Amino acid sequence: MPIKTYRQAINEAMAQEMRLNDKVIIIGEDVAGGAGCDGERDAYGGVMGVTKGLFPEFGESRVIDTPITESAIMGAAAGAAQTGLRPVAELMFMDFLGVCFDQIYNQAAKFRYMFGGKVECPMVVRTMAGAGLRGGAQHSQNLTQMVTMVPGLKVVCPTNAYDAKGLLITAIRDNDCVIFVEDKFLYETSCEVPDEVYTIPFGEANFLREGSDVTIVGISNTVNKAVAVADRLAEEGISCDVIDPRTTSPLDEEAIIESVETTGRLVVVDEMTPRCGVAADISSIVAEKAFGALRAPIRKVTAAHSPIPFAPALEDAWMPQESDIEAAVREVLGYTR
Amino acid sequence: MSTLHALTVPKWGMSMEEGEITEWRVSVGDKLAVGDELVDIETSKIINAAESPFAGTLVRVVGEAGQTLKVGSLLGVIAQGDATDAEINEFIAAFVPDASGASLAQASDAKAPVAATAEAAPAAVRTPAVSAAPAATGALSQGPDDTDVNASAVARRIAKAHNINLHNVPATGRNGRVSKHDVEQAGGIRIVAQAVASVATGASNEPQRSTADDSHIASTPVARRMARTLNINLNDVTPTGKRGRVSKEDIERSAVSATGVAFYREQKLSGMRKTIAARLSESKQTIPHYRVSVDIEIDSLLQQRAYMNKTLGHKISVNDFVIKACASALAQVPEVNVQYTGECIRQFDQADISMAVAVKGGLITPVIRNAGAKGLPQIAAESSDLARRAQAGSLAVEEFEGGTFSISNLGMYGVDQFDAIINLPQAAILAVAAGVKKPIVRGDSIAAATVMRVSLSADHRAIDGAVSAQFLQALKGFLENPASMLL
Repeated sequence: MPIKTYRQAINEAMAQEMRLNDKVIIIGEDVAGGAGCDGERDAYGGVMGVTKGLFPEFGESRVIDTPITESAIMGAAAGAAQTGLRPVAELMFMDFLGVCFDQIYNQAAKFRYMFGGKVECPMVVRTMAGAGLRGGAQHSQNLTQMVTMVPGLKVVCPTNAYDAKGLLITAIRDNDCVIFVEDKFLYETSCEVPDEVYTIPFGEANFLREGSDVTIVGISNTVNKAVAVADRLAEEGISCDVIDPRTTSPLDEEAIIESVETTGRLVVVDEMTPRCGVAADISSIVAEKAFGALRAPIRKVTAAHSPIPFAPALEDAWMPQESDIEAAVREVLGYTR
Repeated sequence: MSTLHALTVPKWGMSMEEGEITEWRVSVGDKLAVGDELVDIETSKIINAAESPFAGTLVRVVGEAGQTLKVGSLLGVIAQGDATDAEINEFIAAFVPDASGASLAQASDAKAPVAATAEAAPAAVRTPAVSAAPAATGALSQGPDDTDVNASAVARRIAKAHNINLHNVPATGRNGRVSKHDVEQAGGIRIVAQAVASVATGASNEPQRSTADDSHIASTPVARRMARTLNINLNDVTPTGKRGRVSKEDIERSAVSATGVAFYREQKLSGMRKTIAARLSESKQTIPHYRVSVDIEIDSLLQQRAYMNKTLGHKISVNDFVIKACASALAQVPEVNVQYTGECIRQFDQADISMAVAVKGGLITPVIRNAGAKGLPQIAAESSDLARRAQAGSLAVEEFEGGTFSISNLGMYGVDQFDAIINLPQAAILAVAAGVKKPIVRGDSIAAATVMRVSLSADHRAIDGAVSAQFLQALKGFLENPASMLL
């Protein structure tokens, strides 16, 4: 099977869906790539090169380059979706959610409900999130929790290239507004990705490792760190279930609870705030629904409750690292009543 | 096509640099499985059997019995498939030793099992079944391949462990998926987490509980309230709070012990610990030990020692007197200065006295050679030097090997008496307790004397009881009349 990067997998998903269905359009800042500079259009293919090649193939009626107006992008996409198009709108950095959030959570998320099911909103908001690339406090946040909390939105957090392609195709075909959160740390990572079109269902967690001592749930790139930790601990005879929920809404609660019922111990990792984050949410679900199975307190490993520092050393300290995950696993294992 | 594997001298412990081949347990041509014991190797500390890390046929023995080889040196060659002599010779010629000695596992040193490591194959899943249900037989296990059945990861895992075909399980889970609950229902089982993880476990012991009044024990109000709720008596709690009060934390700690969960850590066996374990187990299990003890009055000895040290400026310990006296007694009763070899009894002409020295993590027995020919100041100088360097770990092998008789002295801890285990291949060891002032009957009256009890452990195969008694009699004579050692 061919090896593709996360970036290529996302690009391929969009290109293949656009070829299969001419209702699929792309809209966003710099999605044509290189607009406004001296070079050719498509010179860059977007700020991260994810939409490269789409503009030359599908033209400016389907790959719509916009001014820097996130609110207009989301509003246009939400309106277009009601008319039957299937827009894939790009929110360049998830940090910019604030300037367009009304269009997403008050409009796109609520059309179907408020209009009694007479209207659907089949749009995708692709956005990139995540720290570690020295982007500073306004270009590094993962705000997955802010969209996960909104009823009417579906939220996808692909953690590898294979999942990215299958989940994005599912997102484009879905008839509701889907927020597709790309971890920018992963664009250069690669794995085997089929050339064919395939879908991965929402709400189906993926077990990356299986074990019996501790359940580790990781959101976005943190799950890859959890896998590395689990593999190291396996050499000591400690075995972990490492669960990637793939989508935070809908969330495969059942898979997490079932795993905790067999291990009795839970470590939840995300790169969000410790309060009201996805890790906090999963912790509360397990505490409510699997309390009797717990043999140790649930341990969250999250970012610090502070803006993301620009100083590299401070940013590294702010982020959940493998060592933090390992310490948490050892802590829950060492717990005795 | 054949594959050749090198068997090399393993590294048992940090200090091991070489090993002597004592005996091959297999011969050329033998078929070997992984884990078969191949060859006994002796180091300065231990004899152990090396296990085969490979399956195949032993095609060549390179290291012969009696040879001493560096760690990582070639011991032999194992082939998988047919190998010609030329191929084997070429393999041996091309062999480069690796001093880490990693290719041969020690018999007792099995590595911890490694769980799932490869993404493609999440292997070795231990199913933590508390209610261990019997594997499903009959109808539940029958059916076509169930890999395509939509089931949750945990449900699939449990079904596999209990031999349940997922086709036979009604799916009621999320989106028509077979859930853990579905499998449990179908199989009549219930899977719950282990109370204690497979690692970091706790051991239990029944705690002693007081019933005495504890109202006078200083305690914080919260701690007292908790103690009452938890039925903990404050007499049983070690106070660590401010001004010696029992704190909430102290109660919590006490509650942990009351629930029977004690903490423990596992410490890897050091090379020294392994040697002590092997040697003393062998001694205790194979030697018919018996013990004879006697009280020795040492007032005269202490008086002369005080004169030697204070007036003459020596630094002679009571133990130095014991070493000297043992050497003198061994000269008088040489039947105790022996070793039992199986074929004969070896009787030594001189007394090389091994003295047990406690060091960090174990003990070691440096030797005072020919102690009978040495004066007390020389014995004192040697023994303090050996003890100091034993603590520092800088003894040379020849300084702690050999020895014909051992002394173990716990007098400095004030013990009344104890027995020692014979230090193989020797046949006797003297256990020396503290010298304590005691009332003794002398004639028809009671007098005070400083009494030191010694206990001789002897190997009955070589030394009979009467001989031991004669030895102790001689020893008592020398220690009670130190001047007689001059004779």
